[in-house]
Amino acid sequence: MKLQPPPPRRSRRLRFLLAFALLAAPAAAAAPDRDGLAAAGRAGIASSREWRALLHFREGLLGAESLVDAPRFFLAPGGKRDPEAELRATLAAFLRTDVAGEDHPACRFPARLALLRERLGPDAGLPEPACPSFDAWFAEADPRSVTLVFPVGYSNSPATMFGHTLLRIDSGAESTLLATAVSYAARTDQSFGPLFALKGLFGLYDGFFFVNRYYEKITEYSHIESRDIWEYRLDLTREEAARLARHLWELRDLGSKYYFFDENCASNLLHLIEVARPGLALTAHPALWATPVDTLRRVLAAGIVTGTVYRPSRATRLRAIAAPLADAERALAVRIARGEAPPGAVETEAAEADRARVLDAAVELHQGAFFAHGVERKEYARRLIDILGLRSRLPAATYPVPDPPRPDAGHGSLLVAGGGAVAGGGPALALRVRPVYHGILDPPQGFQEGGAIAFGDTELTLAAGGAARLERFSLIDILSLAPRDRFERGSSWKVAAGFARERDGEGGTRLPFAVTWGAGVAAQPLPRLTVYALPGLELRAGGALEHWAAAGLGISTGMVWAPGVRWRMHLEGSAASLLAGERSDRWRIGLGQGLALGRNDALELTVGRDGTKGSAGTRLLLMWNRYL
Amino acid sequence: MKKVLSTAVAAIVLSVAGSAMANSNIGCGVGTMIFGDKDGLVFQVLGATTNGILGNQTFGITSGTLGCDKPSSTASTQRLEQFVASNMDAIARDIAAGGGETLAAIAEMLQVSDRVAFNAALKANFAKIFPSAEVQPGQVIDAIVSVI
Repeated sequence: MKLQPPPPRRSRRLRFLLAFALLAAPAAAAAPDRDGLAAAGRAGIASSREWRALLHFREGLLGAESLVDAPRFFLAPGGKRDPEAELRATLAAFLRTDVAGEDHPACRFPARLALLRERLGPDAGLPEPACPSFDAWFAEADPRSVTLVFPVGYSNSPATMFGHTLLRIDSGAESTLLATAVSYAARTDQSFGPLFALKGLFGLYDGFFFVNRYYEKITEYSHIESRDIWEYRLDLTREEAARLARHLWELRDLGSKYYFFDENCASNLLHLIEVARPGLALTAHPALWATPVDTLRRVLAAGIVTGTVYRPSRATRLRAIAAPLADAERALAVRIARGEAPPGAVETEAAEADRARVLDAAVELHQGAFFAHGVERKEYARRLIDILGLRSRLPAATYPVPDPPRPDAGHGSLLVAGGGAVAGGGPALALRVRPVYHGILDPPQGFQEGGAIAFGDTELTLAAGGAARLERFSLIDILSLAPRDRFERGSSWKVAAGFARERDGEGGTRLPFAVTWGAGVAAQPLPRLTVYALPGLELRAGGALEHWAAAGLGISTGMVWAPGVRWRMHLEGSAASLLAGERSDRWRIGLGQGLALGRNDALELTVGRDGTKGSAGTRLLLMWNRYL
Repeated sequence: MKKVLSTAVAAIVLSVAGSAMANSNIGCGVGTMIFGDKDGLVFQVLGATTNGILGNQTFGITSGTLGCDKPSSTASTQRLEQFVASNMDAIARDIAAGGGETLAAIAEMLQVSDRVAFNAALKANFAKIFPSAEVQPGQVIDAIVSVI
């Protein structure tokens, strides 16, 4: 059952017929010689969608060129910019007799070979090489269909909210665990540091296609990182899946510059899908940035998704297992996981119907602790076998988890908002742009609860007299709430850096560069109600300050409440005491409310009062949010 | 220079990996990646700007040496051995629970049609299949085959 109506195919068929007509006549008549092939090649293949897709050729800001950077991908010196030259060079290379075996271009470029054989026919004189490595890999992969896999973010890590995409090449096997997983990632040769992020932003890493078994990806994402996974099955045919696999072989160990914004893990996979089915035009419109979910939506809009499978993470499974347990039983699961109680304790401390659940919960907790490097491997293994030994003597059980909202069902990643503000100086028009990604008041469906991350959040006001004012330009703004309970013991935290308007203590306002960092705790005393307190540090810098910089302590506290599915509230209070460079205390209290009007529309009403040194002011802001 | 070096290393490693076409960690049996310290504040602040492969670490009950010392006879046997070696923990869990994806995969590889009986037989014989934490993947396979 398709989720979207397929796009019309008439024009695609017509184009193919025309191209075939152009090629068929000369190809049928030509003897298998270099000149004949060259002529036919120039006729239509070079400008065809199929050929350009194989080259990842795209119109860009600086002209049309291939997005692949590795020189070894191109057989012609100018191949990166010239599909026709590349075609000529490929044909010539295929006819070489001085190279044999795996190194022959025909073995290195099986997708190109297959396309040219398809277009030029069996009499064109193209080689039919024996390529043991490719043949073995292709036989093992046994491509039949393709699935787009989307691991979402994990709890207490807003940076992972952007998600990730990978492809799975499904074989004829029933189980998908052994299927081939394809992931585009940067090869980072150094240990992690700030340089890591900067290099990713500016293309200083090379990205490669990594291929391994799907079960390794499940272990990595579902168990170790505890991320929910969504599998979107695509309607690619067996031949299309084979085409994708052949092209993947062509990209083997060839790097391209990895750009976080627009040539990242997700956008590169679109090229593979386009090779499988040229004409999908998934990569046709380059955007300034492409988050994984944006590319996911493009695939959905192309109408090629036939169904989804939800794969709950370790944390989600644990919640499902422990849901009906009493608090004492949950505590018992924790003790068993830690080795503080033997697995046999369930016989005396848990109700008979709950014993298997307690042990299954203990296993999830125990593995979680191991993956977080909290347990040494030998001890982990020994305790795991102990717990499982007893568990195997209890009745079998499954813990189904109902599908949550899909990640593509969430609001768009770009926010533009317009409305009005009323403050001491009178009413003003307010405008806001937030390039990415999700705020605490935004409609939560499809996003991790308790996480908020924004880059480049900008707010302007235009007063009645025509004076425009920058209220806020935030570089980063992250809030991560991880309410503590029996199982979750993490810290909640926030970090914000940017220009934010505040009272200057002389009746006016100033716009310093401010950095806030806080870490503390959050709790969930009632369903859908989270409270938090995050003490930390405050920094200010800028001309408005007496000594250009100031530092001090601060605290942010708040309450997030979702009274209804469409209604969210955030009551927050913060205080900062600057001690070095400037001595001032400042405080802020605000109540923000978000009302979802649809998937991509919401109203946001914020009332806030902030003050310092005996000067305070109130501000009311009403905005219409449009998500794109 | 670094780029050339890493590309060269990648090329060598990948060509050695051959038909498995995995990344540099396929090695013998288990290979999986853990993405470094992703809980660090620096990572969060500067964002996941790359999906980097930071390191690798074997984990689980054993490191899975099967497939290296004694190369297996057929591709399908090798597939089963590699699967078991790489999924020891998950297999143990599924057997104890009485079913799961790893068991379905093993049953398919062993061409077992009666899955219900398969799952039940394995569950009843958990202690025989996993007698200790030091059990080797080959022993696990032998034990599974002996109880079905």
